[in-house]
Amino acid sequence: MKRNLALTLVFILMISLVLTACQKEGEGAVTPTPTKDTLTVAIKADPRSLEPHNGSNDADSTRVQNQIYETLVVLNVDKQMEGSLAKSWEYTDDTTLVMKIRENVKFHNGESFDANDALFSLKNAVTGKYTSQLVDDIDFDNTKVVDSNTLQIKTNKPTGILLAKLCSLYMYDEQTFNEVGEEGLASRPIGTGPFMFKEWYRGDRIELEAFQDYWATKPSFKKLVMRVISEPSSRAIEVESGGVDIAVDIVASDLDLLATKDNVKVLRTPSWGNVFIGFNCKEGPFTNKALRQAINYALDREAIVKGVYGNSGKLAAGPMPESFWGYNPDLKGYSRNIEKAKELLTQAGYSDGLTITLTTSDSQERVDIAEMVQNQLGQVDITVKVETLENATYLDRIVAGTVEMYILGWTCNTGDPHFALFDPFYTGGATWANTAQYSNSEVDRLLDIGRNTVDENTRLDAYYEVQELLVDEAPWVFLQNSEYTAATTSAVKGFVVMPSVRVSFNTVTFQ
Amino acid sequence: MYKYILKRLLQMIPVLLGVTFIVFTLMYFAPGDPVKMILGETATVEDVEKLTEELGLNDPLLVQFANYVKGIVTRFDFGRSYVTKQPVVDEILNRFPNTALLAALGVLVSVVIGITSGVIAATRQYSIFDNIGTAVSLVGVSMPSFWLGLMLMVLFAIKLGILPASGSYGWQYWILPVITVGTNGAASIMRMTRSSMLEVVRMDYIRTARAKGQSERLVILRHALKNALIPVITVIGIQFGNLLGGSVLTETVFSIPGLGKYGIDAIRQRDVPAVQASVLFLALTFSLVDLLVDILYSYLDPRIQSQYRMRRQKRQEKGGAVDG
Repeated sequence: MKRNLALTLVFILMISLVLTACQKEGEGAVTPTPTKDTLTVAIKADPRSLEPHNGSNDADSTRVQNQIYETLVVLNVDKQMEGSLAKSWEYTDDTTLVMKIRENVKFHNGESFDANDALFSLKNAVTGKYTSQLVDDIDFDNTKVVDSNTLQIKTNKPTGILLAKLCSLYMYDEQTFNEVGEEGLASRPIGTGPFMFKEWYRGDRIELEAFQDYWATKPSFKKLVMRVISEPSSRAIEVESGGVDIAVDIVASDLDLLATKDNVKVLRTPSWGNVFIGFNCKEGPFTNKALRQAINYALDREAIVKGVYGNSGKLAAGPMPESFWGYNPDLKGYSRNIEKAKELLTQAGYSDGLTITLTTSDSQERVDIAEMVQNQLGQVDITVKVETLENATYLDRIVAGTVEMYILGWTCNTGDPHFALFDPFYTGGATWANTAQYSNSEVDRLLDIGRNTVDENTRLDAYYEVQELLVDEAPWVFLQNSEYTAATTSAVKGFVVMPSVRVSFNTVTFQ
Repeated sequence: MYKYILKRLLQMIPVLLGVTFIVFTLMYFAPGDPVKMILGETATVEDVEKLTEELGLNDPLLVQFANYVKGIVTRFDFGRSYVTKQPVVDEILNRFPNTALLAALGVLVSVVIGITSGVIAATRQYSIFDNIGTAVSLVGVSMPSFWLGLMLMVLFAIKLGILPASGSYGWQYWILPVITVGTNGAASIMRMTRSSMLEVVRMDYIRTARAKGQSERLVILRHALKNALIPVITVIGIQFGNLLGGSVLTETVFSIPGLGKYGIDAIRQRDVPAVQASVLFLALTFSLVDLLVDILYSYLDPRIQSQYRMRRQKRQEKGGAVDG
């Protein structure tokens, strides 16, 4: 009797485990297999939040937020500023920007978007964890709504980067925000974008619906499903098998294979990000410029980039990828020159060689770079000790400035050179950005011109010069300019890969 | 039996407290500031200090631990994820069904394949079935689940085009992940069943059963297998317990939102509440599976039941003499 009871208990437990696992999907839930009504996109990670001011602005969140919300202006693939919710704009003087707000734009709840909502969004951004730095130049005492479609923005001083900052600031509906607050928007975001939020199955997928009153190109399909597929090979397999229509962030090892498939198209574009080897310019041996230059000459950067990244990305010439407005096309990077390297080592006082520590995170790519660097520098009598750390610890060490030489990347949300150069190289910048703790008064002067000038030509000259100076100064070994990649099935048309994660899916059609 | 189960359930409490304290301490001393992970690199010193105070992270370790336990006991509050700001208990309960289904079906496949092939290999020792079975089990145990999963995806989703590559949206999506998990498990169960069966079939009572004229099928399935399963149940129990904690690699490859991936992501992001809750949940499920295995033992092995009966009888006799 007791044996039967034991067996029965066990059986009930097994069955209940299986039954709890057999969830019933909610009504109206979309099983995300590609149909003509549904565009299925494979993304690499779950967003942290769909609320962009205080929730999160990490890449995975921004990619989804960009379908729901819009900004006043955008930087297009041709590196030109283009109107989005702002139709046009004009600087009436160095500190006054007058923006004409686009008419007949609706939020997903039917409310109209106007200059009042724009001003509200700017003011709300002041207290936003991820947006305060976007509006810190604005003089809110003198910024005002002229009429329902005209917003006058006053800045505290002349600044050439306000429009670039506005490319990253999403617009809210003032009325909705006042009703539901940030938490309400985080769970049910309301924007003006081409897609409305429907449901978020955390860790699995986000379901969006086409917004039929969208002011620009309305989606040709009814639903957008963004599936979280974190394993890169799985994303590649899914697009090849037709399980998804588009897969973003295809890694180098899968790109070449997918390019050979007839039913898959590979798309790529230079991104606003790069990979570099940084030097601690504040303490230790790398305060010596000649040593930094020597290492640049000693390394075969092309071999490293080819070996680690294959055909993905490009060898970097300087501190900024060519996808940025203001990129200096005449920039010449360092080419390997062992004789020159030895000469500079002698000049720096290391004719007998030296031992240095190269610290890296445990990412396979970075470890591979470190090993190649170790091997190449050994040929000029520089002994490299490679120290590998878990990522969070690694970042802490860099911010604390307790590394000599390290491998890192820098990615921007917008293609203005200020964001590529100011934070990483301006004296006294936060050490999470100016990781090399680099300081140079001439670089600071040129970056100040770029930041504080409205005139484009003046900015361009300053940025061209600062890029040349930074190559000469070599606070980094400029390694690779990254690219954004995606793969689509051959039936998908109209998808454009952008230099950032702010891609649009509303222009996609099915063949 | 009821008393035994109750005793075991009560014993879980100090185990769970101990596990929670160890994980709590490890996360407390681990490098990497969780506040900076939440706020990001742009956080000012003031922001970091403010949030550190709000989260109670300036308190001593024991105070933080006591508050944590109090929150669980009084409000069933395991805290909010530093990353998603959602209650971690909700996140875990949302993911557990996927992990449970994968574990249950995976173990089922392992058991069916493993025990069947183990019995065949043992009863036909040194035959071609045995040799092939041993070789296949060696390959199965050595094959990384990550690689196997990807290969299955390439074969069935791309080459044959008959199964979806990843996801968990219907019964057909579970075939490949279950095969992946089941294959790894089947190999070790097969090897354990084979060696256990070989030991049991050499016992005198098996010879007696055969001598009495029983059919070979009955001898193997009724007499030998039942006794041979005792150590195999341990292996199955450990596998099931491990799988209930989440098969990280399988969940990652097949994009199944389960507990394994959740836990690993939480560790990487220094999402302390999520890590603690995941480990606590793992300890709980493992303890329950352990209890389940012990209950099954008592069913399979009559010696265990008779031990308890004898002890109970002795207690009653003693008690009878005292009362008398």
